[in-house]
Amino acid sequence: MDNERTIILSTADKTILMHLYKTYRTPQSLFQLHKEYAFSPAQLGSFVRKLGEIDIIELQEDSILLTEVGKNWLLANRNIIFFSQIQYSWREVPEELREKKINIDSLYLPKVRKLGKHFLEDLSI
Amino acid sequence: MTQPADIRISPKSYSKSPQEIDPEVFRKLRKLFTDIYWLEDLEANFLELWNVCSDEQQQDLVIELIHRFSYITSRELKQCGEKIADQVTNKWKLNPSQTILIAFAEDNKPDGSQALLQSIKDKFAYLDKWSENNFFNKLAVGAYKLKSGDTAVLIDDFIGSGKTALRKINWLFSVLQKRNVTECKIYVVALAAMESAESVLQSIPIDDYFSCYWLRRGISDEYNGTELVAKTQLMRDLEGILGDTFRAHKLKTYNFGFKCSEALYNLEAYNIPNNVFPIFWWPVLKAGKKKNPMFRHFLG
Repeated sequence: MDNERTIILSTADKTILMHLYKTYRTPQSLFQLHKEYAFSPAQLGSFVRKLGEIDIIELQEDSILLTEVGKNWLLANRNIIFFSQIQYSWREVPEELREKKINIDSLYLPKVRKLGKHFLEDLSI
Repeated sequence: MTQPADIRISPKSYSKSPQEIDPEVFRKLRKLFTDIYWLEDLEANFLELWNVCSDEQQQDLVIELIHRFSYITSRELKQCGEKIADQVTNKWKLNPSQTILIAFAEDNKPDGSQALLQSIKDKFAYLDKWSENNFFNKLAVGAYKLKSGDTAVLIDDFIGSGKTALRKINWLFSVLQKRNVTECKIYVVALAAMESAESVLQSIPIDDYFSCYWLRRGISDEYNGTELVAKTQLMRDLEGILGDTFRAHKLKTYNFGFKCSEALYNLEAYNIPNNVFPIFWWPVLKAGKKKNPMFRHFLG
């Protein structure tokens, strides 16, 4: 197994890994996975290749199962695989559009004209 | 072993299967996508080809041909560049002060031979005495730079039937003759060439030739007897679903690939050669219906 390589997992790969973890030691039919999750042959084919070449899963005819190496790998990397959020580029606010932040609980003077006509009335002061 | 790889979660979303597939079809497709890694990026285009096949036999032929495809990635291209540099400098031991590498391109249009030349240029960067002056991106320019005693290394990305190479080398000979350039050595280098072109290359009075990949014809070199007849007919039927013309080009010029080369080859992110079976790149179906081919070839 090549430690230098990077493996890129899709959300489909994560779902299949979770399924294999739950059914550890029981071969899972690839066709059943297609039926159950509507994964395409391309998604499952790519999964088998990627995870098979690094011995995370084992292909037995048309079924797959998680290997012992795979189970340990999943446990060791569960934070990255199952709990990390995908960093979509559109989620990040570009630097130039960010307002200057003030510290939590620090005092500030609001701009009165931005408060709205009924702000003080709404506060019942 | 708990850290086999650096893990990244892809933000790319995959379209799920719109419907349940027949188990046997699913088995074939799943296996194909496992075996052929580069098909992943061409999923939709491949499925379009799969769906226009008239029957299972045609689909099976498409699968067999895809398994035989030589798909050269940019990483392999880099390794080939190193092999070519090694061939020129260590095996042929060509003298940099008397050698020029010339792309086969003959006019002002961008060409795969120029792209290959550009990609191998840096492999000579740290070799003694090789410089920019050793590289020419057009045959017409290189032909007039050669002097008596010089060596020309003609570079092409792909040699299909070998007839285009033959024509260009004959043209080079005629120019050298007109210019009274004698004792000029000629070598030919290709990234990939059809095995069937080797006899043509051997018939030309050049000093030597080298190709990183030698390719067999996709059908004629792979089947025999009745199977060959059947597979040939299947391909004819498959090509029958393609439109007869595209712009000013006629499909019959490219049946089984240009000059019936039957090539199964693509260099990643480059224009696919017209020597490849047109079912993989011809952009229209019968009645002018557009098709998204697996690969693109610029027909102009």
